[in-house]
Amino acid sequence: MSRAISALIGATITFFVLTFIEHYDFAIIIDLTFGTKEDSYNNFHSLILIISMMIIVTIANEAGLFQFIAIKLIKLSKGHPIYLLIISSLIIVFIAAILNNLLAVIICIPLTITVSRILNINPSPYILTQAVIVNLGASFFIISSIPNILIANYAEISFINFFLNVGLISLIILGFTLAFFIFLYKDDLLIPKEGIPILMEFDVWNLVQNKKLMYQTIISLSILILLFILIPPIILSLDAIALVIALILIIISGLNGKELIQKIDFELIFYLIGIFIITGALEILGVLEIIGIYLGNMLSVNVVFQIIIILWFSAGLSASVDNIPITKVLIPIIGAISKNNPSLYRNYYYYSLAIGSNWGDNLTPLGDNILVLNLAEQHKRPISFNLFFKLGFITTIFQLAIISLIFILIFEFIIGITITSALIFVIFLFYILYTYGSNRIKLKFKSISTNFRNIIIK
Amino acid sequence: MVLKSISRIKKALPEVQHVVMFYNNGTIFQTTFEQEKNIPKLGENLAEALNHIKKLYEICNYSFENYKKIILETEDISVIILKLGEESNIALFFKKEEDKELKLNAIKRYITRIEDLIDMDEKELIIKDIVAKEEEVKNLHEKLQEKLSSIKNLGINLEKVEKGLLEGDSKKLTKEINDLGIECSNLEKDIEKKSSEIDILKEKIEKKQDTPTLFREIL
Repeated sequence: MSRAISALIGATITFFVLTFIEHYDFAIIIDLTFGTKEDSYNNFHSLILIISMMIIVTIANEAGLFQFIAIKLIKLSKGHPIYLLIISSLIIVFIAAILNNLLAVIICIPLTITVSRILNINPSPYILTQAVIVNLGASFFIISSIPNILIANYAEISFINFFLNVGLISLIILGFTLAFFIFLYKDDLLIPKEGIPILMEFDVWNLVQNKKLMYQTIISLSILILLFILIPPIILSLDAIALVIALILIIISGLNGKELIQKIDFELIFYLIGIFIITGALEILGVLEIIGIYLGNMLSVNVVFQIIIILWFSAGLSASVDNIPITKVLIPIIGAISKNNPSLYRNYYYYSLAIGSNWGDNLTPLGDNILVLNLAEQHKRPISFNLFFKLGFITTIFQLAIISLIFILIFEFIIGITITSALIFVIFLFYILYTYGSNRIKLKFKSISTNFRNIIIK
Repeated sequence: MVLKSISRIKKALPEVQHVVMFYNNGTIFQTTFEQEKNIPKLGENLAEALNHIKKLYEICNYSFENYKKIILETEDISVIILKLGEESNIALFFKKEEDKELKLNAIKRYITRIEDLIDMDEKELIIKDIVAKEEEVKNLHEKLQEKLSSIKNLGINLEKVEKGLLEGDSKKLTKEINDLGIECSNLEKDIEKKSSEIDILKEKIEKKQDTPTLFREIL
């Protein structure tokens, strides 16, 4: 059954419970769908922002902008495998940050396979890296994923604040993750012998439907990001900015509005409405607040401990359930847990939720990321389910561990710096032993690292 | 290289107006159509056309495995779509001339060349992998032989040192021999591991159906 239909059935049952058992007025359903004056019509703002971004993204995709950028950048690698791995990973993260994870995968995986055919190389290391790393793009900007939009609207986090606190951390983790993948695959990436000149012959303009439309999209997206940064939400909300840019883009592009509207993902919109109603009902009935207070008492008063628990808990839940309802349910719970803390601390609870809900998906290949396996299969370059699972799980644990350390450094600097120094010391010690140690030690290290790599990628 | 092959096709068959090389996902690698045309849509429609014929075959319970060519003739233009590699195709747009038969054989070798350049099928990829791994095993064997002969030489020296025929530190020599011994056993393990990987790849290739995709079998 479609997730939208399931959510709408749940919403209808909720409506009957609220009106006939709890004796609420019919207007409650409108309040739950769009929000109320007290919560600044949060849900309505979220819906408008999502629809506006969908329009902009559809036009950008129609123009072939992202495919053009992707191949243009891949050509810069000149077929060098490590550069290719880095560039293809950065491309998918960048596209996911502007569009969303699913579209980024749909655009990038077939292109990676095409490039691998031209270079006559095995695409698996590149596909697997992209598949795991794409989730990092989802936590770059508010517009990068729906959980971010829901969180930012509820907690009134500005575009720039979100980027500085979540986006930049994601960028740091991206560096660590890329280094980890290079370490894993460095021996498996072969330098192509024949395909490089053929790759350079690939005409990138073949991916562009309409040059004029592409330039219009680049300008619109740049203005959009700039306005998001420059205009404070108190003056003009993000959804209003996005809506204006989307409408201007429709008008100047001359695209058929009817066709464009047909491309909007209404299934997602109905799904969101259903989720808004169900979680809203749980909130007005006080269920979420009770859970929040109970959890808050249980998790003690230590802020960093609570933030880390939220990170791992939301990641764990997102691994098996879609991250949109998880986020929507956890937002008010986190509100209840964090309400006694100063506002500076309070936002970190939401940043932690944004990171956990976006990255947890990779702990199991049961969510949206299964699409990668399907795409690889469709393009006759199947990848192993077990390998994907192992890589996704280990990398996510690695990423969450680093984030936890960063939170400890922010809130408990002494403990954080002690752990970090100990880790740096151990790494340094290994490096010294590996570089200046006897042959026996060097061989032992080499054998350990080969075995470690083989366990993960073979 | 690919561009050269295209110009040779056009030279060998002057009635070819345009050439489009595309992948099954609709990505166009090269085309002679000018950029003013909507090239991505062209690729998308060519891929869809292939997909529709495939569905047609499925409905009729025919096998579409390894299609060879699709010919569409209209009054002025004929389009021939030929399968290149595993996932790649070439569409030739001909200006139709009365009483003139198309001599596709004239362009056979150029198309085979293009296929080799832009699309390697999975089987060939595995073969390439096996060759690379066999090369690694060969190098490891060479290294092993070198180390074994070093051990042998050091052993002789050690014997001489112990007998007092040669000056030297017997402890140092013994340690070197031991280190080399460990390196040899690691090399042997690596060889064993690589050899088993080669066996797995060979099994994989045996399981794969023999899928002739080369153009020489098409014409």
